[in-house]
Amino acid sequence: MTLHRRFRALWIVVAYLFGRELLGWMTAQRSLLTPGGGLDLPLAALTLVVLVLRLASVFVVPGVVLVRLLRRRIPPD
Amino acid sequence: MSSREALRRAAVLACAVLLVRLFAPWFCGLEGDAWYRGDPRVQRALADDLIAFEFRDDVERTATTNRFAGEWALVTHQMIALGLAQLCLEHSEWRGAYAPQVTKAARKSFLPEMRGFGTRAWYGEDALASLQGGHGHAYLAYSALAIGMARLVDPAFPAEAAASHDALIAAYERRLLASSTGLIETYPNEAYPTDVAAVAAAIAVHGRATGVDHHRVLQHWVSRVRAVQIDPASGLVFQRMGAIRGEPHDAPRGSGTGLAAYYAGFVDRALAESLAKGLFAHESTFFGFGAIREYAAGHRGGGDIDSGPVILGVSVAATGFSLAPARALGRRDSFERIYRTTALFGLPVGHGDRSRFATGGPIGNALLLAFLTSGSEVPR
Repeated sequence: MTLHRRFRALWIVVAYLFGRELLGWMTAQRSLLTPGGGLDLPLAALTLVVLVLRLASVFVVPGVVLVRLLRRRIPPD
Repeated sequence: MSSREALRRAAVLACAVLLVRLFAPWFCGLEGDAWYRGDPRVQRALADDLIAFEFRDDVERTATTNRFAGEWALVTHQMIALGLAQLCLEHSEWRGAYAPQVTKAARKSFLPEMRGFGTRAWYGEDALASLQGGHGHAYLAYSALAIGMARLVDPAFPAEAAASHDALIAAYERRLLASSTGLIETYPNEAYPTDVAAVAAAIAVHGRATGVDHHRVLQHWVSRVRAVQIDPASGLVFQRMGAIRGEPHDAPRGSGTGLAAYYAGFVDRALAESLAKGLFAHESTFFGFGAIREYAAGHRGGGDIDSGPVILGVSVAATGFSLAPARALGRRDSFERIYRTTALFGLPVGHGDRSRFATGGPIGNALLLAFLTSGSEVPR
């Protein structure tokens, strides 16, 4: 298994943290929704990606990391 | 697969689920406790970011024709004013810095272009130019409440704006006392109990700021809410009603009840607690996260401008609005669960001494400032 595949779950966290900072910087300049009902499409796409990465970081990554650690500690029959 | 191997896999999976169950709410709720306790660090960071937004808005207002105006703008400036004013009440030493900002944001919400949507809805009739008339124009109570809070915390509030505010409050008082349902219209043939709760809140805060006795009209409103506007089965208020006969035009809903509970807190703590009881009976929880269902049992519907998206029965607006009564009325467990959901999807980000919820935009952050700092405005 290559190194980048072994740490795939952690790459999700790194991508999330980077995306969050980028989103924070962008939302300081402009707004996702405008009072006229318009949608800033690039910002909306980035928001969606960062939200998916956040959900994965919070709900999937910890479980996956734990499963891998336990599998190493408790070898199968 | 041997039974031992199956058992091993089940144990590993159970451990993973348990870890996620513990980690996810802990991680998303990191700042929930700080908000509940009123930690100046988190309060100042969001407040200062919204003050920076108001400065940017000042520049853009004079430099461009693409003005930030309309219903969303009115609510944004109003909620910034309310949030900052609540902070002034909670931390009196912040008044010097924040009270002028409260006045600035509140007065912006009072500008003619902010209420243009209401003037158009009433076929060109401006709310402030028709104070002797019988049309409700309840939407302007959002601004009137912000102005009242500015008068409460800012001794330098300008006298001419105060006179307009006095006249609007007098009109609201007269219209509300004349209504047997405790409802006045927002738009022609449309009355929203939540907007009328804002009217009552504006009247109550005007009384606190000026010393004028509004006891009679506020008692009338409280009794009519209990008798007419709350659905007895669910404890939620009807979203939309007929102002004259008080018949429901929409379902009892969480978004309207959440905001009404916040506004009722300015007027009458017992009524706010009644509304909160109905609201939190509609809380759904999962893995330590909380959210409020939009529709009462037996009612169905989708999302709209009031609720935002409704996903799996819970609405964005009802969930966010419920933070205010949860904090103000001491429902700590609900506050923490709902804050975790807010942080999960709101994406709090910090830059230097300021912070914001990245997905909220100006209106979302303004609403969250008001709701996350709610409490100091509620009578004990």
